[in-house]
Amino acid sequence: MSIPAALMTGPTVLEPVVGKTDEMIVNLGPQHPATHGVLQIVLGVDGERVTRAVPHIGFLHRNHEKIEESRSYAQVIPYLDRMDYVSGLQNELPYCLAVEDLAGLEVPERAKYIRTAMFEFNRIISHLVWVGTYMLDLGAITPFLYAFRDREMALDIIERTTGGRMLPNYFTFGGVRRDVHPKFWQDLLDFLDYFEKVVPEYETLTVDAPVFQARSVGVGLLSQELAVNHGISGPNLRASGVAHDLRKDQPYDAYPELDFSVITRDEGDVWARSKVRMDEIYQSIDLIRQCAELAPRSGPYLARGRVKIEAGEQRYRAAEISRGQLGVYIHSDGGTGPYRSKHRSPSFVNLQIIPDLFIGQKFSDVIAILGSIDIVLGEVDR
Amino acid sequence: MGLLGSDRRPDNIILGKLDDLINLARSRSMWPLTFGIACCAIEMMNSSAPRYDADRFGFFYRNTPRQADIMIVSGTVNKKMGKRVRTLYEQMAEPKWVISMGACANQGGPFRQGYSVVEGVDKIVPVDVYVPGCPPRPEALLQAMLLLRDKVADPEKRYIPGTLMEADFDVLAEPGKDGRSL
Amino acid sequence: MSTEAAINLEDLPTLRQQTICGEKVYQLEDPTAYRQLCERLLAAGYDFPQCLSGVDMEYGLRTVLHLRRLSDQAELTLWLDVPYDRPHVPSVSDLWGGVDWHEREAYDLVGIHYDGHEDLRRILLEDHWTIHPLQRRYDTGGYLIPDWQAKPWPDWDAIAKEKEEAARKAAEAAEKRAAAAKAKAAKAVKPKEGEGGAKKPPLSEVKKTSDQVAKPKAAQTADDLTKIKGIGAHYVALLKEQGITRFEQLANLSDDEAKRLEEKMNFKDRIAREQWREQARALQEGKS
Ligand code: SF4
Repeated sequence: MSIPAALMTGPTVLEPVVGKTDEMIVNLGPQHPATHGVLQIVLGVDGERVTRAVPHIGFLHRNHEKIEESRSYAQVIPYLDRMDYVSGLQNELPYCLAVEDLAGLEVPERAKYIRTAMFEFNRIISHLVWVGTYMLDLGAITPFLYAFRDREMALDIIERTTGGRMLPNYFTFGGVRRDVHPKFWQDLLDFLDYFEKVVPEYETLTVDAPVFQARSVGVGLLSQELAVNHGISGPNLRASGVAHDLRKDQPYDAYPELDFSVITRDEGDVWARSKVRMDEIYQSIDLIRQCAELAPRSGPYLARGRVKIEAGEQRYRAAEISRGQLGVYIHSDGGTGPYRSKHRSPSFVNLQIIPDLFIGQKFSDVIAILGSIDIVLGEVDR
Repeated sequence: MGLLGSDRRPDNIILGKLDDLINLARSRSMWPLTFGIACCAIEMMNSSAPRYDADRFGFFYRNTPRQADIMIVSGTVNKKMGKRVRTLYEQMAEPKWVISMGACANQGGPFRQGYSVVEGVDKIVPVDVYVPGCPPRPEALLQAMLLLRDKVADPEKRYIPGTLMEADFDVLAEPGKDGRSL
Repeated sequence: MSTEAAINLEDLPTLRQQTICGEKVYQLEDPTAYRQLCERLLAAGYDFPQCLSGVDMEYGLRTVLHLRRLSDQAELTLWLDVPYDRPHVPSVSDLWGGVDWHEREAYDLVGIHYDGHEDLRRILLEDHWTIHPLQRRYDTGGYLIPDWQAKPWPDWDAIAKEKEEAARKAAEAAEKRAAAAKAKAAKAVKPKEGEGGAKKPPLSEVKKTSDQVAKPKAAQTADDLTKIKGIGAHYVALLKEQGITRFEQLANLSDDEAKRLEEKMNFKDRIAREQWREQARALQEGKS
């Protein structure tokens, strides 16, 4: 028995344009190994050039926002993990910041450093997944194996600290949910000592490899004005020459005390986006080392106080996660849960740019460009 | 255990049915479809990565449904995606099996009460092995694969071609104003 | 701030400014001024669109626009409320490309129409669907367990006081018990007398009094007001504060009383719009 025709009214399908050469319509996804999940793109191709691109999303829409309306503030946190499941911990932070602002909670010093270190640690994990899957898309299997080998070691540390591998539900209002174990900082430093030596290996396999450079330099150019106007954020924006990083521009947690500079590149192509991510791995290593040095080794890990939010209060808070600006808008009606919480997920906004990037490019570059934007579909569709 | 447990003679002669031989061969080389949906897909990727290495059991991911034997539904299936899941399943060549990975694919998981989520992929495709967890650890997925391997080699549970389950397509319809399926 | 000086806002009469939680919020009442204001904001350097959300305010729909100026990291929030029956807002997706999909999402989930948007289709749900699930009146019905609905905060001070009270009472009781035990121990020496003499009331009398008490009580028992569509656990608590616990009371509200109730409890014509009185009457009749 096959599916009734009435249910198959899918997304609008493009009609081919008949011109000098006939346009061909190519459908990419929703089941395609290079779309990193369930993204559908309908492409019009004229010879080797892409003439049109229409993305269709919503294949992973899980009504996060409706469910969160009927949960209490604390019950929302596990759902946030599942938005951007590659960097689960990072998703929790903007929401916690917003609720802390609304409830007037002060985060203890030690918790700030733990949160910052975990936040940066997750950035490494997320960029490792990006290295692995992106290179897999481009036809290189080795980086995938290396990246997931190292990611396992990193996940072990997260698991030892929080109890969960991918979706740990660890940050909470006013600090972290549980204290770190006594060897936490040493664990991190040991891993970084090992990891720092293998990052050059990744660089040789990716941004320094001539084969990769041949496919990436000058491909998928994103101009500065277009990027800003489209609200692109994260490494994609910084690779186009805009030095915008919320860690620096609107510092939260322990970032004001840390010493770092925003990484930018001016090229704006696929290679620059990859290079920025590679440099960010080094930067994260450095930031975690600084945290380990500055963090107080004793003291409270959780603020004392109660979350009570009055009716009519509202707040938008954002943090710089590995894909860009993750924001959350909370509107309260005085109840025990958010009246409305809207998530501004970086992948959702970054994905809007793909028609602009694809049109006029070679068909074989489509995958290279799509992977360089680094999207996670769970976050796009929510 | 199928062929290996049947009538053994000297000189390495084993008497048995050809079907059993074929099933034994099948069970040692099962190719899943690379088909990640949500968070569980990352753990599925992990299970074929160095530490867990599913390849050693003969599980080798294929990118097209035409070449695949198993579909691992790894993540939340919503109403928009449900049709595609069914289409993919119908595109796979028989014999075919389905592993439902994670709470979401089993029964809707944390998103069960939502307006757009299918409460269990078994409403759309027949499921052979369910893996609990949110997300299940890679070891759990490996165990599910091994269980499925036993099932394939077992003559009692032999796959009978052409027995497609009738899907309940009402679960894919738009919910009414009160939230129930129309 | 220099921003306000740079943007001339004087001639936009429907603009209100307020500060909520330390954030500056501009609220507009007139959709026609929205587009004008946005153009001026873009000219004043607010170049980075952060977020656009749709919120169902229960009296209408609200568009919330969050902007950022990258040159000095100034942030700005803009509200625009539109009524349910005319949910039209001018689109600003040609000013900031980044709000394009946000507007489509708000149209899809909340039901706000953005006039002038190039491609206003559903984005997350399927094209042929008709529901706007993030509107409050879209009730997930049988899918939601009742205590999902927003509950009022517990009164922690009262709880703390109650606990103290209980602890004090327990301590007193313990003291009394100790004293009684002492007394008993002292008494045990003396022979018991006169205890059987205490008179019990005759059985018939007991029954009568309990009947008298029980009857009005049965009539007074609270009805399950959540049976009325539109009333959740939160409203039940509010109504109880006003002394309304039964269908009968709701059904017999006069127009004046209803209006007063709405004002007092901030319902904003819910009673008439959701026909609480009619529903209550029907339920009352069904019961008796
Ligand atoms: S079961 Fe959990 S981890 Fe798996 S897809 Fe569902 S929410 Fe994600």
